Parts: sequence; structure tokens; C-alpha cells
Amino acid sequence: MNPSRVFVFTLGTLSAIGGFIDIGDLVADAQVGARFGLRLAWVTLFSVAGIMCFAEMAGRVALKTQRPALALARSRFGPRYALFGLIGSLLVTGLLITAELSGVALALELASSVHYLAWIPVVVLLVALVLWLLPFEAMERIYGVLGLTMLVYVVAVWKLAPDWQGLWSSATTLKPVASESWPVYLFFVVTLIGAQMTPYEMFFFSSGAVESRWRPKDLVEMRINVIVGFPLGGLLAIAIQAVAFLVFFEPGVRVEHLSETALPVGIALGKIGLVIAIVGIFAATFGATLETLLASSYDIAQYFGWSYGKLQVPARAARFTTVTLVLLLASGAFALTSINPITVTIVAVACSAALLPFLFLPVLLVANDRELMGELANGWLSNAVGMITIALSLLVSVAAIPLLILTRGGTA
Amino acid sequence: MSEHVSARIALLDKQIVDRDRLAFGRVDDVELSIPTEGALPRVEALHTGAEALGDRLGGVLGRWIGAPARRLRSDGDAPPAIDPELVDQVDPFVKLRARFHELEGVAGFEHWLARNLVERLPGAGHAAE
Amino acid sequence: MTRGAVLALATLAVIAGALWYLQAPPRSAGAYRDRAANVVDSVHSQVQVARLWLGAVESGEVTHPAAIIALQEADDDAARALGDFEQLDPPAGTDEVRHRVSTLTGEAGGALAQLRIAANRGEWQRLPRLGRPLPRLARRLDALERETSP
Repeated sequence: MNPSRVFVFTLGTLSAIGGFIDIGDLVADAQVGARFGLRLAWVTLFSVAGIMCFAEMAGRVALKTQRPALALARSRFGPRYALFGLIGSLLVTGLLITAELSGVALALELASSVHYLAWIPVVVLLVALVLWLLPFEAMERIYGVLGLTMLVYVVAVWKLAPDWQGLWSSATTLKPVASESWPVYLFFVVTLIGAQMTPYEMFFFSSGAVESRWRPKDLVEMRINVIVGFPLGGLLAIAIQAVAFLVFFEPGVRVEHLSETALPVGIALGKIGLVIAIVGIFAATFGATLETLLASSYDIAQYFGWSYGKLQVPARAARFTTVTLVLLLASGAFALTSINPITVTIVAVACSAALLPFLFLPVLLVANDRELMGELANGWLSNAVGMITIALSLLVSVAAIPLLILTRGGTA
Repeated sequence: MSEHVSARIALLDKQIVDRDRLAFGRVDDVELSIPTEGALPRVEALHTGAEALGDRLGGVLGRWIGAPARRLRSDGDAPPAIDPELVDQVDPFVKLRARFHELEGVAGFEHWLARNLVERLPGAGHAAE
Repeated sequence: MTRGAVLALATLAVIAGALWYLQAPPRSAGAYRDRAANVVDSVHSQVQVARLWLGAVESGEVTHPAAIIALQEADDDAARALGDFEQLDPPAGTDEVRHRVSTLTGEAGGALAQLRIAANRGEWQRLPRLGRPLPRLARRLDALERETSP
């Protein structure tokens, strides 16, 4: 078997891992597992279905037009609408860059017991070096593979020898546990959706498709990436919820730190398990930092029509390069104000949930344009799933910020 | 351009690439002139850049977008404009016959950043290749 | 006024309202007891987490650097929860609640601090002994939380 075929899946895996196992998910999944068991696993299933649908659409648009999905937003919907979309998604993704950066620093802190703020400049430098030196595909492959270490969570579930019947019954009970109220339950539904169905996964996947120079003949490869990558991300998310449930629910622990996300793996598999989990968390948050950073600067470059990406030398994409560096440094500076990264994450995730339908809608409209897409335009399945997803995300969008405030970020 | 095309649909917000297919901006505004009364408008120039976009959007939003670019442009220079004679094709993007670096005054910010910032970093390559 | 200005003002009003709601101290006895129960629950959570980490350290299931961080976080969180709570003025009739919560969470905070200090100093052999009060503290915190809840 040709070894390079193994790497066929890495774009999908990277996008999914960045989207499903970033700092927001790491904390949210563990929180949810500790307080609700698997009663919110259905949310993950919904998120997986929704993001698969839209990532595939965005990927298809990229294959056909060789432009990432949102690059078409301005041409088709005008600069005003596209600008609001740009500002909205920058707001969310920008905050997330800071959160992910902090997540990498927190993973390093866990490994070394050196304070996470001291690691922030190191992480900024590392990210800058990786972006500067590594070609897109190399980045994709390394992080796609390293992120697979998160599978240690699945192994940990197994090792904890759970009562599978109990897990199943928890997963199929669709209401809050006795000690939690409905508003908090709904807040976590919204948080999980915001954390797992992040638009930047979709934009990154389609920008990556362009960088990898996929063409319509690569349709199957693109779809395999979607089918392998995102469900894998969902599986990992549920595994994190499960181990948190098995270790934290009975003692009544509220998860508020990354150390608590990692602990169950140590308890299940010992030191080696904990070390692997920390490596996985490092890789996942590092990958997510790259994704959110690039997604933001791609968005800006695509709106203004600048040259961007790795398909040319940095000097020929000077504005894009500068904006990327500025975003990275600004995020690092914001993190250094010692603002609580978990708080930043929760707010960013709630805002992401609020903006979801507005960022999905353009993709659905573009993918349906027969003139643009030809025979690759949406079929009935994509449209059905897409419209249901948008309808449900409208409900989520309306409820997101009010719930964030009413439940004080889930702490009430 | 001799064909009758809708400037709004065919030109505005389209990606502009140069002869080497290097992207450098979008058609942010189109300057029209009406040669004689009742005749069809002629495209005088294509405008690109945040300043032109800001002027086109208008309002508070437009001013915010255009302000940095306007400040960076020295008073003597005219705002960046592209001669429509340079346009080779308009679909799916606007392709020009010239190289990006040969155009006067266009995307000055890109040039400036390339020369003064990016090219100084090791491994950045050169802008005019 | 232009439509844009009205929209901007409305947004600012909503944001101001939300911020006010978030930082407003509890005024009624019920709201205060709710907040108190929350603090107790939070400290209870820190104590339970510390117990889990201690157990994992004893069984060699976790690395020392990670345990140091975790015990620091538990101590910090408990101290902050108590500190924020003590800043609040108790409404009429809740002095007793304040006293009981302060005392017990203070005791728990003290135990967590000792664990943190020992871990920072690398005195791992002392941890099991320092951790012995934790189970009883956890039970007492749990009981207090149920009693305090409105």
C-alpha cells in the first residue's frame, strides 16, 4: 500500500481534531461529562452530522471553483453583507486564537509545572516558526497524526471497565440530572454546539482543499476526509465526556481546568496514559491555534482579494503575511493580560453559537448555485440536512447569549 | 471593452489577478463617464483598495474602512486606478495584461510591506520575481 | 435619530443591562443562600478533585508536575470562591449562613493550601497524612450545601 495514501485523510482529521478537540471542547466535554454524564451525547451526534454536511459542501465548492467557500461571499452577496460576516467571524475566531494559544501553554504547564503565562511567548514563537517553515501539507500531516494520540481517551473508557448499560441509559436520557436545572442543561447544549460546530472548521477545510490543489476528480478523496475525520472527532468528544463522567460525576467535581480534563486518563492508564493525553492536548490545541489563526487571516485576505496562503513565497503575499503575524502577536499579548483562558473560551463559544446560521447560510446558497457548481451542485440530501441544520442553529443562535448571561456561564 | 456588460455583475467585487495570475485585490469601485448625453456610460477606470471600497460603502462603516488607506496615501498621488484597456478577461475573475508590479500606484501597501517588512525576514523570497 | 444610532444605543443598553445583572450582589435572603450554596459546592468540588489527585499520586498514576499544577488550581479556586463570597454583604437574617459557610470553607481552604505547599516543596511523602481530613471535610461541605440551599 502506497504510504502516501495513508495521509489522504489528514486534512479531514486535522480540521476535525481542531474543531472537535480544541480548548473549548476539551473543557466543555469534560464539564458536561462530569455534570450530566452522557445525557448530552446526542448534541455531539447532531454537531457531527451538521458539520459534515457543511464541510462537504464547502469542500465541494472549493473543488469546483478553486476558491474557498467564503471567498465567494463578497462576489455573490455584496461587500456590505460579507463585511458583517467577516467582522462577526473574526470576533469569534479572533478570541479563539487567544484561547487556543493559552491552551497550548496550559498543556506545557501541565507537563512542566512552569506557569502557563511564561509559556505564552514560547508558543507564539513556535507557531510563527511552524507557519513560516512548514508547507501546508506537512503541517496537516504532523498534526493530523499527533492529534490521533487523543484516541487514548477511547482506550481509557475501555480500561475503566464501565457499566456499559449505565452509559447507554445515560446517553439515552434526554433531560438534566436531578441536581441540575433546565437552563443550565440548555446552556451546555448551546455550548457544545458552539464548541463543536465551529464555522472555522468548515472554512479551514475548504481553504485546505484549495491549498492541496484538489480538483473535481478529487471528490471522493474529499468526501473520505469528511467521513473519516469528523466522526472521529465526535467519537473523541464522547470519549472525553465518558471518562469525565466515570471519574467525576459521583464525587461531584465541577471541571474548570485542563488538568481535570487529563486526570481521568491517568487514573485509567497510569502515568504513560497521562503523558499521552498531555501530548494529545498539546497537539490538538496547537493545531487549533494554526487553524484559527489561518482561518482569520484567510478570511481577511479573501475579502479584500489579496494573495494569500502557501502557494507563493511570503514576499508575494505581504499583506496576508503581515496580518497573520499581527493577529498572532495581538492574541499573544491578549493572553498575557492573564485573562482567564477558560472564560475567554466560554464567551467565544457562546458567540460562535450565536453566529452559526449567518455563516452557514452563504455556504448553502453558493453550493446550490447551478451556474457556478454545474453538476456538483447540491443534491436533495445535502439540502435537506443543510436546511434542518440551519433551522436548528437559528434556535441555538437566539438562545445562546441569553443563556450565557442567565446561567452566568453555567456556574449558577 | 466593447461588449455591453453589466458593470455591477461583471465587474464589482470581482477578484483581480495580474498576468502571472497573482491575486492582489478586488474591483472595489468602478469609475464611469458618460461621453455624450443619452449614450451608454464608459468605464474610465477600475478602482481597488480599501479607500475605494470605503467610498463606495459610504456611511460610518465606509469611513472606517477607508480611513487608514487614505491616511497612508500621500496627498500628491491620485487614488489607485486601473486602466480598463489592461483588462484581458472578466470571467471568472478580472485578469490584467500587465504584471502587478508594473502598475503605478496600485496596491501600494502591498509593495511597501513587502519591501520594508516581509522581505527582510529570512526565507521570505522576493516580491518581484 | 438615524436607524443605525437607535440600533447602537439599544445594543449598548442590552450590554449594560447584562453586565449589571452579572455583577449585581444578591439582595434577597433567597438569592444570598443560593450564592452561598454555590460557593460551598465549588469548594466541595475542589476538595474532591484534590482527593482524586492525591489518590492518583499515591498510586503512581500521575506525574508530579501535573499534580503540582492541579493542587495549586484547587487551592486558588477555593480561596477565590471564599474571597468573592466574603466580599458580599449578607442581607437581613443570613448572618448565620455567612458564618457557617466562611468557617467551613476556610477550614477546607487551609487543608488545600497545606497540600499545595507540600507538593511545591516536593514533600510527597507528607501528602497522604495532609490529605486525611479531606474526606470528612467533603461530607461536611456536602451537608452544608444541602442545608444552605433555599
